[in-house]
Parts: sequence; structure tokens; C-alpha cells
Amino acid sequence: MHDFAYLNEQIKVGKMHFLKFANMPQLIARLFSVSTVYIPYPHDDKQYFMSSWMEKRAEEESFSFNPFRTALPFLKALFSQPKCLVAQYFSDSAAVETFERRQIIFGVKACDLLGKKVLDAVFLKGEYVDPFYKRLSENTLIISGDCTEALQSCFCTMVGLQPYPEEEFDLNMAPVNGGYLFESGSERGGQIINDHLDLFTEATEKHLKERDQQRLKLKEIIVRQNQHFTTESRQQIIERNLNAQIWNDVSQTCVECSGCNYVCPTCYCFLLYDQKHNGGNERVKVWDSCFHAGYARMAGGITPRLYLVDRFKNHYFHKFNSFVTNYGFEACAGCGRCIESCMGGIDKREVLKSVERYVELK
Amino acid sequence: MENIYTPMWVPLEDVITETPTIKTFVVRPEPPIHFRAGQFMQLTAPGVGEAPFTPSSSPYEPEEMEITVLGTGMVTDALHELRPGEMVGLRGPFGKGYSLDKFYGKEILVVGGGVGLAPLKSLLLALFHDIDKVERVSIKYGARKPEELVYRRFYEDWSKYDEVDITITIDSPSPGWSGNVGLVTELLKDLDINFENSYAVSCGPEIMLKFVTRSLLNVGFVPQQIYLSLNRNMSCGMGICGRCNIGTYYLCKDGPDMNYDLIKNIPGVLG
Repeated sequence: MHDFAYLNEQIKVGKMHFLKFANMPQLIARLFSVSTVYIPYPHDDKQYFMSSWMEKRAEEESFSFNPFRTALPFLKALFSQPKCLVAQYFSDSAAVETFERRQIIFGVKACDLLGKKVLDAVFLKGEYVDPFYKRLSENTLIISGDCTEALQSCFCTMVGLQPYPEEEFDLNMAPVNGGYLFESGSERGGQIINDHLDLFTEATEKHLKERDQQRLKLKEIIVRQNQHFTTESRQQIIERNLNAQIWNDVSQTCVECSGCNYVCPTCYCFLLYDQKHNGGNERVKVWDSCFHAGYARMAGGITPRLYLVDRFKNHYFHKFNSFVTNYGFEACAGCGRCIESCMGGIDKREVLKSVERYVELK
Repeated sequence: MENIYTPMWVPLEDVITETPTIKTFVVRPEPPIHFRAGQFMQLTAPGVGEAPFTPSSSPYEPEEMEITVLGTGMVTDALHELRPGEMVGLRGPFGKGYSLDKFYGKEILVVGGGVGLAPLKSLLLALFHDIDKVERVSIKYGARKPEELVYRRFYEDWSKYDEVDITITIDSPSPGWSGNVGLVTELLKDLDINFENSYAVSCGPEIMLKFVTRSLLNVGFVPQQIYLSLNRNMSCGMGICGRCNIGTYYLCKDGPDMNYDLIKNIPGVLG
């Protein structure tokens, strides 16, 4: 029998609870009954959020813990919609969707949370607040998870992150012997535990030790796989030689597919455009890519960053230099999705290493 | 919660044809929009799109806002089709605007090219409002042809101030034109200005800014004394969509007038 003495206590941030594997389906079923729930599932060595699978899983109430990040940056797509209707004017349908539906997302990893930190800084904490982002962010509960495996392209440790979430989550899960460790990262995360306390027990020292050992082991693996790539002071590396020939070499195989922008959890550039629709007019916000010449093209015929190499360079400059200057941290999660998706086989780690070496040789 | 992406809709009060390719739109937003000289508005042509323009009216008279627009693309051509009474969208003001307090007590050299005089007009009107605080305003303005000179009806009024002098030029000779002929940079060759105590402010096509900067540096200005109104494609106007960046600066947030000293080493600026 559980000790429910602490039943009415506020679950403190940082407090740990343990959930047996056997109790997970029940927790999921209860969450599904009050909210939309997103859970990633494995397919072909990768992890995906697919709505058709989720509907089926909702019926089965089954859960799957992803050992590494999902193929696509779902958290980014949830908060900063790929295509978002932001205004309608001079039309009968004046209302725009305000995203009131509550949702819960599992499967988020530390790299996704760094992406959230970047997007929060831009859309939530600046002088201008994006009301759609704000609403989506308020209505989404994040249940992140430790990574238990690394992909070849993972380099979170190189950009100062850990392969486990430390901040920005509501609840964090770590698989241990017999079940999951749940850490509450916010009041509303704690509230979820509170609401379903009958399914949980307090975590033991043994659980914590197991989690910490697992974390250390994986961190070592990731550090080791990135040994020959590791660069320090990336801001300075890029600053010191903006006109270097090396940029032409490393961008040779880039075909401007903008895949990297799409899959990157920290890429947030967008375009606001107007169009006539349904007898009225609408304003739409869509994801945009800095790799396209049209991104910065001006009326009257002038195109800044006319050559691809300049746009390529600008992409790195933004993530590793100017974002640091303007916001205080690097806009790169080390998730490696860009490496996986690049049509030209370009690896960001190699690019940075090449630029670093070039500067040294001069 | 305020929607930062929606404009305020106002009807056009008046449309003034300045030149064959330039029109001035007059609006009376209610409540009036308070802006600093040099800040810009995002103007919406309904169903077509938005583009950034610096109002050319005085910041001390916000009840009637004037926006001068050159027809040069999709949005501006659509704006040019509009008639008084039709609606336009306004978002803003955005940007830093000119540092007016820096200019008091100094000699200000204002160099404009073509429609570039439009944002400068707001600065001029702001300076004229407190003309006793300014040592001197020396206006050098040029266009390709006489019919492309904007605000001709105001030059005489402006030169009535003791502190103000205006010199106009057109690029190449034109029948009926007896004034200066030559690029506006020619007017920068014999400046009787006190370099130690002056600032230069310039606005026009980027190629013009490049040569104006070169001329100014040649005659004795230092980078910190030069303010350039740069142009970049803008979408959000709020520093979050990414596209208007110049180095670590976003033109919509940190400009559009940039101190040359801040941008002189950034590759790809001024062509």
C-alpha cells in the first residue's frame, strides 16, 4: 500500500517520482482523456510523430519511449507553426484560430528544449510577443526524456548541452530498472503527478543513482564520438575570417534545398505575406529559408548575399556568432538533424573544424 | 493579447503625385501615431503585401502622416493604384530613428539622392522645429532628371532659415535646366563645413551611399560622423524574421540609419 501522507503537498520542482512500466498505459489513458497527446514511435531506425499512428495508439493506450530524438523538430512545429494564418481583413470570416486546445507532448529531448529556449527568446521574451506562439506554448505540457542512445550525428555535448534535459520542461522521464523516473520541472508538471499520485511512488536513491550512471555513460559516448570534431570559441572562429576562401570550399556541395532550416529546432526565420482569399484578404506567416536568394531580395533589383557562399556563411554566422551577441547563447542544439538531412553531405561539425583549422594555418 | 502582425487600417486622405514614379500618401491615423524622425512604418497594400517606408512628415505633427513611395515593385505598384478613400494598413513605428540630440549644436550635412530625400525630410522638419539648437543644415540633393526631384515646392521655404543652405543637382544636362549638373558627390568636393563639429546624414540608392561615404571620408569626415540610411528587404519589422540583418544588426531594430563606424567592416555592405 502506498503512503499517501504527502498527497496534498505541492509537488516541488525537482522532486522525483517512480512509475512502474505496468502503470504507464493507465497514465497514458488518463492523459488521453483530458488532452491531445503526442507520442513518437519508431520506424526504420528513426523516431516520428505520425498522426495516424497516434490515433491507433490512443485506442491501444500503448506507450513507446524514444531512446533518441525524433527525426523532425516536432516541438518547433507545434509552437511556431510552419504555416500560420495570423490575420484576416476585409472579409466575413474575421476570426483567426487562437490555439486554445490543450496538448501534451512526450519524446522531447534536451536538444529540442534548446530549440524551445531559442524560440522563446525570439517570440516570447523580446519586445514583441507572438500571440500564437504564446498561446501554443501555454497550452502545451512538455514531458521530455533522457536520451539512452546516441545517433552518429549527435553533438549536443560539443555545444555545451547534456544528453538529458536540465531545464525548460514540465516533466522529464528517465528509464530505469522496472519503470520510469519522473522529475517535475514546473508547477504544472508537478500537478500532473499530483493528479495521478496513485500510480506513482517516491523515487529511491537507487533509482537516482541508476539514472545518473546512465547519463554519465551516454555523455562519454557522445563526447568520444565528437572528439576529432570539437571546436571551442566558435563565435571567434567565425568572426576572424568572414572573407576566407574556406567558405567556398565547405559550401561546394550545398544545393540550397533548405532541408537544414526545416529540420533545425533553432531555425525560426519566417515570411509574412498577404494574399486575397475567399472574398477577403489574409496575412500568413510561413517558415522561410536564408539559403534562398529570394529570402533577402529587394524590389528594384538589389539582392544582398547574391552568392550562395555568402548565404551559407550567414547561416553559420547567425547561429554561432550574432545570436550569441544578441541573445547570449548559441542557436545550435547539436542535434545533428541538419547533418542527417543534408543533400550535399555537409556536416556542420566538419565545417566548423575546417574554418578553425584554416584560421590557425594563416 | 495584441496581435503584432495585424496592421491598423486607415483610409487614404490624399495622394500627391510628386514625380512620374513617386507619390506621397497622406493619412490621418486615429489616434495619431507618434514616431521619431527616421523611424519607419510597414505600409500594407491590401491583399498584396507590406513594405517599409520612413514617413516624410514632421514627427511634431503626427496628426497628418505623409509617406512618400517610389513605384518599383509589387507592393509599391499596388500602392500607386490606390485612390483617396481606399484603405491602407499601418504597422509601427519601428527602428531607432535619428539621434537628434547628437545633432544639436552641430553642422549637419544632409545628402540625398532621388526618393532618398523622403526620410531625410522628416529629419529636416524635426531640425527646423528647433532650428535655434542647430548650428547649420547644409542640404545637398540630386536626382537623375529635373522631373525626378522631389519636394521642389519646399526648397525655397527651407532656404529661408539663416542656418540652412540647399544645393540641387541633376545627373546629366537637361533642356531648360540651368542649375548644377553632376552627381551629388560632386557637391561634396568643396564643402565649407567645420568638419570637427559636424555630422553627415545620407539617404538614397546603396550605390550612391557607397560613393558619398567615400567622398566624405576623403574630405575629412571620420566614420563615426557618418549616418547612412541602409536598405534591406523587411518582413516583420520587429527583428524576428531574420532577413534584414547586416552583421549582428537588424536594420529594422537597430537602424535603418546606421552609423558607418558600426558597419564599415561588415562584408557585403554598400556593395
